[in-house]
Amino acid sequence: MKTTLQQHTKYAVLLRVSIVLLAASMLCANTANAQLTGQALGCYIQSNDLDRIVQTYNFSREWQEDKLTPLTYGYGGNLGWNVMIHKARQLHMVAQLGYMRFSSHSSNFGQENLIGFQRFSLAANFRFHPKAIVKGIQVSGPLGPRWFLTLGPELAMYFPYVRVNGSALVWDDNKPYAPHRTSMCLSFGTGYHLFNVGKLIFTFEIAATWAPYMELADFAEAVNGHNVTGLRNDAKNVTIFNAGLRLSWVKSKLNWWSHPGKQK
Amino acid sequence: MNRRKFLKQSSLSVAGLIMLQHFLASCKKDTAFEGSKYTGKVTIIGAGVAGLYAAYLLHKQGAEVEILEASDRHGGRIKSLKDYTDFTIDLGAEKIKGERSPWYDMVRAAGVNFVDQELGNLYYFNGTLKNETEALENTFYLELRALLESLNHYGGDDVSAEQWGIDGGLSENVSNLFNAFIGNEYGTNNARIGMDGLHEAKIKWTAGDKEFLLKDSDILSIIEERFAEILGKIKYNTPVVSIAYGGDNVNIGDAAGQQHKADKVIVTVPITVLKRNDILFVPSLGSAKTEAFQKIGMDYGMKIILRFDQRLWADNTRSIYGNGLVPEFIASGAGGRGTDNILTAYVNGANAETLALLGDEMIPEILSELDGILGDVTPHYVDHYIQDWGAEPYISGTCSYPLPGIDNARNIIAESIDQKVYFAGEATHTGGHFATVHGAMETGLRAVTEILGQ
Repeated sequence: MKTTLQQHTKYAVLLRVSIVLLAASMLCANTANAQLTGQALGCYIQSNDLDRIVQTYNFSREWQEDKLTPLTYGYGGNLGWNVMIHKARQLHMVAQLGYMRFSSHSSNFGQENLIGFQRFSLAANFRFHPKAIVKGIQVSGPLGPRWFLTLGPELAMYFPYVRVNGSALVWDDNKPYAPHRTSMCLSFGTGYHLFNVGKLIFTFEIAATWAPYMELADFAEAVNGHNVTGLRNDAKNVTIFNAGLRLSWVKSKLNWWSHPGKQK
Repeated sequence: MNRRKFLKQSSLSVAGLIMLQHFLASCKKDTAFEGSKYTGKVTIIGAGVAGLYAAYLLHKQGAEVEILEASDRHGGRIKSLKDYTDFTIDLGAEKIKGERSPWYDMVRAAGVNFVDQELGNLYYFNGTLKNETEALENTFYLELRALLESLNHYGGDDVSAEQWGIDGGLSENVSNLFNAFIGNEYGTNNARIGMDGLHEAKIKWTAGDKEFLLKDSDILSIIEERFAEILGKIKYNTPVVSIAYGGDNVNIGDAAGQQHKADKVIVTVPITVLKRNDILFVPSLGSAKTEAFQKIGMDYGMKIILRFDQRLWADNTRSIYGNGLVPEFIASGAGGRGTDNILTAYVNGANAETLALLGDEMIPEILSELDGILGDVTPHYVDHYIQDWGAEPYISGTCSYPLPGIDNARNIIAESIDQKVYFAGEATHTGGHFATVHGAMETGLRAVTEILGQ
């Protein structure tokens, strides 16, 4: 089968992830005012090109009752550090490692198909309040203003997978199908610090991550077994929406967590 | 939290949940191309598997479908021989190649059983018959295997496979095996098949490496069962002689002088028919397309079913590879398919042409080759049946193969014209799956998705 594919080994992937983790650790270690933060996410992806791959599978197997749903909803989470960049302007940055997973499943005539992709990301998410970033703000909490906007770049790695009856699809030279591709994204969102329980702060966030380009290498071929209809494995202008609850641990209770009513 | 605040937040939460529910419902995506029905009339030329599958998919989308078949039967190069032995013999395609294709999933949906017995091949070279283990102890055979495995990385000139073997220093001792594994497998000889096309097929293949044999059914029966509702739409004995696509509609003329009007036409005839210009296209297809036809080969080929009064080979034998005119003898009843003692001589290309010229001497020649391989088999010969694909008037061969210098001929052939004329059939597969049943089906899918605007 294909040998021109970029078949990266597990070790290459682990090496990249390690470099990313190392960089993140160094950033955190050098930042005295960093706050640990994590988030659980629900996700929705919009890409007609990816939908078409699954729709072609279903269309070409019209007799199968249990259809694959185009990759739509996913889940994920992220873990990072909130760092105050500029106190007067209340500009914060969350350096975080993210994970998302989108999958679809069908079962027909004793064959279970599970397809989807995993997305690992490294993001530098800047948080700011429009007023505060322009004029500065005096009253704020340990994570900045209570309502905030987020904007920042992400480096994302996509790992598509196809599993048949629980086993990874066998691909080139009897190796499992496990390619990966990397691309840049831009994330924009908003959030609101809901409440705190001791040193734990609960925040609701919603965001859209725009990828000018993303690729699930050979996904059409892996899902359909062919790509004679010219399906695209690379998609342009893909948007992933996500919403979730963030939990942040702060070193000390400061300011407005004791007086949330005074915040705007 | 006071009561007012609680009520306010609760109401907001409930309103939010309701809105979220509607939002999520609106985000639901279609599982198939549900928004793209086609209600026009599509005429399909050829009732092979590409044509039947295209017709089936279009019919499901609401299109009016008509199939014009030149011969008196459907299936094209899929044909069954029933009642000759105690099992049905596939006279055309018989292996299911790959575990990842609509075809494989269709076979599974039919609920048929695959041969699950471990079968092995026998190889006759260097004057002796060897099983796989014994063959692997032979240097010449190991060199052949190494050469075949290097096909993935081939970067040489677009020479013939035979030249590739010579350049690779392959021993004459295994040249017949080499021809059986490459040339004969693709319906020809190593001397005719081109390396660029072979290499491309190898690296583009994405259907999986497993192969399956049907145990208690035949390929034609599966197709007939799945496409039962389409078979009634076939007009048999209707060879098409012209396709005029210059106007608003497509006018298709048959050999009897009848005209068939359609909005679109899918041409699924074998490449031999296109090469011979059996169909007059008005306006003409242009030189790029007609030149592309000539860059793809499709040779004479035969399956000669030989019946013996006893089994002269091991029960778990799948194929016996010889060193004469017949590259491969298939033990057709293997794996519990049947108890009759059948060997099918599968021969293509120049070897098939030579055998055909022998006329009545063909069977004695084949038996003589078998005598050399298996011992004294001629006394056990009972009778035979010949499926001569080269002699089928509207097929004239077994399957397409790349000639040296093929370049992007398949892509050129596959291009539709004016959103009216579409091409399908295994020879038009651009992803390495030519010469296969699933490849033919996939090209039918391609034509249909183009018609549907997908």
